[in-house]
Amino acid sequence: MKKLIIVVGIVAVLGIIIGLYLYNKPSEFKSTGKPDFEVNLAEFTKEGIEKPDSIFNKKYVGKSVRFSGIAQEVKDNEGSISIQLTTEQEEVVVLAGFHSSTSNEVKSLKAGDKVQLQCECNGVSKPEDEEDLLSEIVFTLSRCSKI
Amino acid sequence: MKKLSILLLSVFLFIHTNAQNFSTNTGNVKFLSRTTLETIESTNKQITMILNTKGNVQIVVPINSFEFEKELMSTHFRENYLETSKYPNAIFKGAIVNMKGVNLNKPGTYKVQVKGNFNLHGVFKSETINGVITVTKDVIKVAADFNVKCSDYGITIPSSVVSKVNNEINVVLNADLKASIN
Repeated sequence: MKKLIIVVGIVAVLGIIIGLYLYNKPSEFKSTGKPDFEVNLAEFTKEGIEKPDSIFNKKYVGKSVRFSGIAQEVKDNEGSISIQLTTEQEEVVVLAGFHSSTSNEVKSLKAGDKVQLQCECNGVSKPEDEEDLLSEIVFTLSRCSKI
Repeated sequence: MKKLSILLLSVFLFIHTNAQNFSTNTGNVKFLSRTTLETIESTNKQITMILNTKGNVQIVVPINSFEFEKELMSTHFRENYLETSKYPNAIFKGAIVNMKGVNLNKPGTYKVQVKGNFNLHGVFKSETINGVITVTKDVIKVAADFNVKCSDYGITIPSSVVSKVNNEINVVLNADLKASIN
């Protein structure tokens, strides 16, 4: 009986420790490990343009994507770097966002630099009709890391 | 001569009927949920905002771009509350009600009221937002502070965390807009 109480006690303490660890685990601001998708940027954007939003977003949103591209513009937004990548069409925008804690990796990048990135895909937004103010097709990626 | 006059008139009309756009893809949104047990803050630095000289406004917020301090909060926010694989973007489309008193080409500070439709979590709702537009030589700064009720947008807070997550979320928006090609 005493042994059982000790075992139950140990299991309970372990459960509390694991629960507290998971509850307080800091956010991962950087996509690492094996990516869910390795894509060619031109084909990735083509898929986003041609496929209905719901299908593209269901496939990619929240998933890690690795790709290569050329920086078109590097923007510093209050310590967080955002790289706009060169695309084949002017109206297609690909934005790769870095958390402030990982922005040092890419602070020195300039327009024209070739980069390989791994990010988490946040989806695509497109103009809904001709009256829409949004004239660009915007692909948003965050939690990026430079490979 | 007649042809030239028609051409000039056409160019004049084109310029005056087509509004000039100002936009950004790196605007900021912060939200704050405060209860006696927990304060939850999150920031998103990837919002797209477009404003034109006619007073039309559009904001696209990629929901997955919100950054949380704790991973569990982020997972719950994305997967359980906002269901981002189904509804990846929140979209606001509206217009400035008091546009007569606003000149986006003249430096100054303008208090504005924007009325429009907000699409969040697949639910459309009419919202009125008060904000301030500051026009400077290089940039148009937009700032707004408003509240959104989760229950209005079909966002259910589980009973187990209802004491930690406020139904009414405070949203603070800041964006620096630059002239863009229409």
